[in-house]
Amino acid sequence: MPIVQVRNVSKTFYRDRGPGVRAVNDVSFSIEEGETLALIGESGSGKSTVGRLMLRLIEADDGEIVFDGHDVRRRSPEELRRLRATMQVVFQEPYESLNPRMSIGAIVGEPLEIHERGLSGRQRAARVAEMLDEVGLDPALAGRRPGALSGGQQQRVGIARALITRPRFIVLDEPTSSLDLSVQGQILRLLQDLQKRLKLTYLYISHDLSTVSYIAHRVAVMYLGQIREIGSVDDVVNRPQDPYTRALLNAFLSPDPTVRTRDTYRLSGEIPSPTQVQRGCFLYSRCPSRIEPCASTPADLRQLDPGHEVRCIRAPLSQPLVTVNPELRTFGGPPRPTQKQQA
Amino acid sequence: MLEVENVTTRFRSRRGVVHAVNGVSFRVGSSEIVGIVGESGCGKSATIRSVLGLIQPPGEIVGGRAVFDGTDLLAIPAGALRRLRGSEIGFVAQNPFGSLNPILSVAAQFHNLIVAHRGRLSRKQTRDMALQALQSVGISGPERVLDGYAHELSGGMAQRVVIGMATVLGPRLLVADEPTTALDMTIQRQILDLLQDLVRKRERSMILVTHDLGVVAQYCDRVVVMYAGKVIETGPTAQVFARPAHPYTQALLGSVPRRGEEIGILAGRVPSLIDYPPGCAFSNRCVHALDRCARIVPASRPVAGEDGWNVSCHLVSGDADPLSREEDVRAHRAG
Amino acid sequence: MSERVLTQPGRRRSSAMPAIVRENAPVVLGLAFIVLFLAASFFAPLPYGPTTPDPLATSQPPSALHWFGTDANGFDVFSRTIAAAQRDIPLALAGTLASLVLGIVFGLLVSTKSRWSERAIRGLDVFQAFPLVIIGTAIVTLTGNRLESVVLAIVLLNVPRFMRLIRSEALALRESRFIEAARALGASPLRILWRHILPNVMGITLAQSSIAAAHSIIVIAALSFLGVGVSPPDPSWGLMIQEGARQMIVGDWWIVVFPGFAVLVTVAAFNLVADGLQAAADASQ
Repeated sequence: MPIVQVRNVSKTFYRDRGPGVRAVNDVSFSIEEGETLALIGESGSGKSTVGRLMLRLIEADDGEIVFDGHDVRRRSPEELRRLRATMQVVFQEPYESLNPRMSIGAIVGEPLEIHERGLSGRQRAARVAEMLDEVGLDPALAGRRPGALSGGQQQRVGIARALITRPRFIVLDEPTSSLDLSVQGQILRLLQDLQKRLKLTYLYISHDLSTVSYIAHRVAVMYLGQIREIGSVDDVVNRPQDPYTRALLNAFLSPDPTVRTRDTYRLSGEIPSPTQVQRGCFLYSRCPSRIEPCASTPADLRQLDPGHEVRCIRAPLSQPLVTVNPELRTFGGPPRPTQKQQA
Repeated sequence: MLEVENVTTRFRSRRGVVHAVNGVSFRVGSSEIVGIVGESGCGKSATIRSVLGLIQPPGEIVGGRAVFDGTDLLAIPAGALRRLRGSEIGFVAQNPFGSLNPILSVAAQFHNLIVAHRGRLSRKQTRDMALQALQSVGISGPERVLDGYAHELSGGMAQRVVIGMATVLGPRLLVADEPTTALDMTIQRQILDLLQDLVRKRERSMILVTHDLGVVAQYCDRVVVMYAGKVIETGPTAQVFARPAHPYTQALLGSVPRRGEEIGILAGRVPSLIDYPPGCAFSNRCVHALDRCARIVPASRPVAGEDGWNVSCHLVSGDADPLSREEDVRAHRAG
Repeated sequence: MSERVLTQPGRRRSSAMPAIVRENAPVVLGLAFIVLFLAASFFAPLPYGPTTPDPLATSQPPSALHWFGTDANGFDVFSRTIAAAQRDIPLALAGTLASLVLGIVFGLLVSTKSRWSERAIRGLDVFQAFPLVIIGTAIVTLTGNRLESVVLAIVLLNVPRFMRLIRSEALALRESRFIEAARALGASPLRILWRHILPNVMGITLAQSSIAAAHSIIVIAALSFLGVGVSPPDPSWGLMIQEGARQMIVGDWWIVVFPGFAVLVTVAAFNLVADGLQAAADASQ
């Protein structure tokens, strides 16, 4: 039984003038308890909007978002507020997501003030200290302001704040993309540990294939507000069937110099404006594998194998188009240096 | 082509002197792409800004040489360096929109640039040069781009225009500071391929500053790994990535997420660049650190038998005294 | 080495302590000046009665007898300059404080992008278009000539300014990530206003209130000229300056310069307090 279900959700943003931007276009997926689903895509793909729609930080135009049996879109403001204790978010920019005038202790304790009003100040402080410890921060930092912390520490604060009410579902919106590589590693490990320990369900939003393949169980690839392909990491990364997924994987730069990834399967041009209404397949104008019918036949998601859905009408494509395939199985890099090199 | 030696740059701040670049040395051969890699605050940007004479007060270059084609860039007057920059050395920054003037047409910007270096030329002449440059960076319909403005361009197109401007006068050295960090993955790949092309076909050289190990692995012949304002390891990319010698390089490569494997954790923080530590700057985070690591600055020495592969670490002692070797072995057993 | 790193945070904290004191020094200094000035105006023995003119000593230049000279009516300028603080400073402070409180409340109320808050702001435009003279006259007609009317005038003039400032700051803040995070936590709109927006607009609001306090001194002067609030022969810096300005033509500079100087240093003291408060708020960031 999935803990979150998104059914046919759409969202159009209107500006003061001009046509609306269809940021999310009939998106459906579900996430099982304890699972991580990654939403991957380039800027403008609508991946972050999906996360915000799920938490109802913005209102969807259409569709259903069911979390733990509740239709999120139909909750009253008060019910929604209560529901927020169980579904949380960690943002991309750790510093901007923390109120600069509040102490770390006040930031992490705020969800308790909102959702567990019975707690005394001392009980709250104890819970905060416990939580800080759990995310690997010294509880003595509770008196500091966010500005005094490093980026990695700030993100740990963001995670602590999200977890203190013991939620079951967390939207991770590019939680490591503004962090250095070594700090990113620490945060990813922390997220993974927490998931195992607290049975958390994650929606992991990212543009970075290597972190996605590290942390996710399943992946949904988004392009112009649509899911192009969804399936297990194995399916999507090792047997990609949609041209867009293939192009994205092909653009990946392996950190192993002995694996020469070549950008052989390339989309032409750049992402078109999402205001342009397209008949047929959204990828048509850029697709290297396009055929006549793609221009007019709407490409709908369809199941290829159990749990593996693809939008391209030509899938499964016989010829393996991703030349970097063997590399992508592990994503990466040279054999992990275990011992210091002996001179 | 470029030989950077012992460049040291400091910044004055309210809290004290920031040791941003501390005796950085590396060389760039002709037709070579050299990657400078490191995490934020490691001094990679400050290093190339020092070399290009782009350091402004409160920053100050305290010492060192940067010999480009027989000229020490740090010794010549600012005007002469400015003339070299743009004509002999092309610079591509991270944010293309920061490099383009929003109120001038692309053609006008090309004109200003060319005239500044080549003297009086007609609009027609500079336009022809600009057209050629835009074609060489893979812009289709360069006429339309020339008459347009920066805000009409997408990020990828704008970066192509910037690269076109950086190469229009035929520089022999390109310096690119995180040229694709602001761009999407598929566009990043295109831009890097383009830069590589521009280097390989014209026998230029390039310095590519990046934090992305994938960019280094796929595009750089040699790599310079920086930490706390110092070069801690430099060598051919293939060798360094396959058998990283410095514990920091090892940790950095170990931080790359890989499916089904634990990520290596590098604990601790970069030391303060104001209270710069004596000894090895990495010693407080190094799992192999010996007693002397915190006291004595390790010299850069060649990794045994490898040409152009140097590392600054007490633990890697190609020809070190036997006593320290013994110490190393003991440290290893303990670790 | 590792020891060095461990001791660093402690070292930083000990060096931060004097910084906080240093940042608060202007506040202490400014407040001390205002309190002293006020106390002097009430309790200090003045050489001459501030409301009793000496008809035999009119328009005297500064001397050992009359330190700041006398004006055309024979009032001692020094005594009046000190005594004027009795009315001017409390009125300015009361007006500013009331404006601050009301401005914050109403400013936060209209700090949404809703239609009615935009209408409210447009209403302010109309109101602010009226000149001070008209507002002053209107108030006197409505409330009679009392000191409270002066406070009311200061409030009416300053509240719209505070509202605008707070609204524009708050609207920008509402787009920020940490407000979105607070919404995601389930924080109520009131909590978001109180805990997240207000503390982040306080700095700039305090800076504005120092300007408002300084401006109030001038408003008090202008109103007494209209016959509202402080009325002659009670001393007020504004009145003294206006009367003195007329005597400048005949070269009697002292009548205008000394009360002018009093206004200057009082305004500077208000500014010190506000700047200090803002610096302290920024330092804690």
